Amino acid sequence: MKLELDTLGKQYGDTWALQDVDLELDPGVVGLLGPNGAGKSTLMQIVTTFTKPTEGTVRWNGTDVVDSPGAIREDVGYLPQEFGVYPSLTAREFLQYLAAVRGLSEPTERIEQLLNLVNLEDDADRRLGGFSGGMRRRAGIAQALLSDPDLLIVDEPTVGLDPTERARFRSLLTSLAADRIVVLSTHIVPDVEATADEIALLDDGQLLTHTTPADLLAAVEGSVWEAIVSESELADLKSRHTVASMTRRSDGVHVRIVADESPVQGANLAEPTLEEAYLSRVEQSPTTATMEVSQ
Amino acid sequence: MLGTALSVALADFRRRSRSLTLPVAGLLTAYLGKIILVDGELIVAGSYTGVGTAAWYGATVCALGTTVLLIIGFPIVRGGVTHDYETGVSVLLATSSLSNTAYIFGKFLAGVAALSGVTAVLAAATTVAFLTNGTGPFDPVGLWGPFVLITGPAIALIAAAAVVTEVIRPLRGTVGVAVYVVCAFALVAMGVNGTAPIDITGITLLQESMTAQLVTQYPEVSRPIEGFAYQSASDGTTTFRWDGIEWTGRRLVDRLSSVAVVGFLLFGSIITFDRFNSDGGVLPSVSLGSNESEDPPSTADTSVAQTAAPATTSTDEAVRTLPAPEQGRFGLLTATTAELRMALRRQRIWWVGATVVVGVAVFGPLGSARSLVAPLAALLALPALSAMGTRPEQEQTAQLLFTTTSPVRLLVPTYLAGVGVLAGLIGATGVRLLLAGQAGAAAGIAGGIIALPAAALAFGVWIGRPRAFETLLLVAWYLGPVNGLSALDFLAVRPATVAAGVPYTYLAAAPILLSVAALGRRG
Repeated sequence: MKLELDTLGKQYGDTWALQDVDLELDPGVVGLLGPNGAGKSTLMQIVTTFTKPTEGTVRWNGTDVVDSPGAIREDVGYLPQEFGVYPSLTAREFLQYLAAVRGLSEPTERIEQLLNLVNLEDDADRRLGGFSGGMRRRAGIAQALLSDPDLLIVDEPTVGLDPTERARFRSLLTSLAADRIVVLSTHIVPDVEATADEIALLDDGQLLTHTTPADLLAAVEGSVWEAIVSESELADLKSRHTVASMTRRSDGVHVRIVADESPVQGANLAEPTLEEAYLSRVEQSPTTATMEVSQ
Repeated sequence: MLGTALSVALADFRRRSRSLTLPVAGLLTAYLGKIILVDGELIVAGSYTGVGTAAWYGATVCALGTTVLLIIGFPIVRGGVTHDYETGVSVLLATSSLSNTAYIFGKFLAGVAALSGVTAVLAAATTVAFLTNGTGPFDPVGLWGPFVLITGPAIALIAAAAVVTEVIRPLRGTVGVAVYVVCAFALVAMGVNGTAPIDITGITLLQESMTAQLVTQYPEVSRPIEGFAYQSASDGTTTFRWDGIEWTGRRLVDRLSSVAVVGFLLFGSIITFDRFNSDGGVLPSVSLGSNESEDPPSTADTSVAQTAAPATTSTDEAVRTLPAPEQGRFGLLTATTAELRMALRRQRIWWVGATVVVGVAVFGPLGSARSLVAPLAALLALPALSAMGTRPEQEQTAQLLFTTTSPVRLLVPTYLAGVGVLAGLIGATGVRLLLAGQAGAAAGIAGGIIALPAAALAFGVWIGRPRAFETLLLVAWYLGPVNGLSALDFLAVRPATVAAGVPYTYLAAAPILLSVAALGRRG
């Protein structure tokens, strides 16, 4: 199975939400990273045929899905970033409805096991109108897996999940990736770090890089520094460099800084994290990005 | 407070002005002006019409325009508070220092601004029509005065009614629309008869003024003159000169009396506003249109504490043992059952009404079942019908549904569910009519059962919001089954409708409407 994007672009009015994106994906988890407005959701909506591109092609196993959307719709499972549920249906009824819509025969057993998998077995007969945000998202994860999709696209899947469920979902993604393509879009870099074989980095609608986590880390080797600074030094550092993290302690502020040279006297080189590699790469892009850094 | 209210109004107005609703409404009203002034004429006392002065142009368009605005203006401006609920902005507003008074007043002002825009287009179209077709000098007071003093208070009343039916919980949903439409029609009807407590459309005032000047010019015309008529332009009328309304102090006070009603409605809205808290508010929710969950919303994941996250190996095992789904045919029965569940999971009061309707349809006198209960059943089905075509957009499931193999075929179970609801309510009446040998009347019931869900789908798919169809159906219901206008008697409850062959038109319209819905559904 193969997903190919060729010079893909999407224009809204005068603004290009996505432009000249070339990407080839094989089985495994690809983490789609990028700041707000980078074009991640637009990219996923085009691949799932929800939105038509302005230019370029999307090929699924060689078939152009813009011309033949049915070619990918049978094989795709999609969890949008924002989606609704029918509040008057129970979780089980909602999944039965979507299974029927997708043309799945005899889905009962799979629905039961999916409810177990997302830990909703005890709430399966409760109406979705009474579900919390996290529970709705888990119902959304279950619906994305209904048809055992060859292409699983999940947009910010762990938003609203508690740490236990987040860990469970990471494990699930890794398990699912063995024989399918999983596209994971998120701001939460540790989620990508835990699951992704490849990373596609988008910024301002353009693909900055498509690489492995190891290569992304290698690129920032020797550019991450640790230091303990005062509050006044911190303000100066922030104005000159990317401060990846900071922790206030009794002896000062412990900071990790992304910089090509030692940013402050006494700074020591540190082992980079994927989040720092991401910050460094986005900072190098032509567009100054607004970052959301997960803790 | 006023500054804050204006900010609320501006934000709401900007949102409205960026949708197609307002420009379309403006164009439609401009076209209405053309129809009134160029294609037809207003008839007073059977055979008299006014000379085309500025005052005549302004008053005639204003009277008919205000009447139309009273009906179509409501769905245009209603939805400001609901939009804040649906988008989640309500949480930000409820926890801010924004006062209830400023919020309610702001929403009211936004409605006034939107309808003023539509009225301005109508006034501009009237001005153009006068300059190209009118006679006599340009008289701005005569031409535009009625729009300010007649349409203006009406706009305020419509905007206040829109707010109050969103804020007072029992009036949210279809019940509020129904109550409004009934009140609006009652006010128009009483206005024509001169018995309205508030002359909201200005018809009583215009009749009084025109009658006085007509009688002066033609003493043979006898008082009192009731009502206006409207007909295509013809040569068989006598003209009289009408110089416009003399705005005396009493008349101004009469016009402004509706401001007191507006104040009352806004005050009621402010004191009953629950500040977006579904558990709060002064009055309980008994909306027929809502199909709220009986389960209280969870604030936390109930199952999280019960089960720890499994290790990767157990997840691997769980994924490995998932039964592979088989691709089969579209699950029409399952999907239709789910659509029926969504249509029928309503509050107890709805089921009480449905039981009564079905009881009369099955066991009651056939005449009553046909002429009285069948129209009521259409009202009972209205919330379910109006939600059909709009559900994916309203419930934000579009991305889940429209990325499946064939989104268009989803219309089939939705349509069947609508047919099922209506058939369940009045199908027995149709069968009994057929058994009684009244095939035409039975075809009328069948036409309604088949055509109404198709119309609901077509409207829902293209417009995306349920209120337009609700308003349209309520107007058609009032004019057709209730008042006997055959073309709109969609259930053929009157013998004249059957004799005119209208049921077969509705039966033929159903597939056309379904095709229109299919064209609008994104594929």
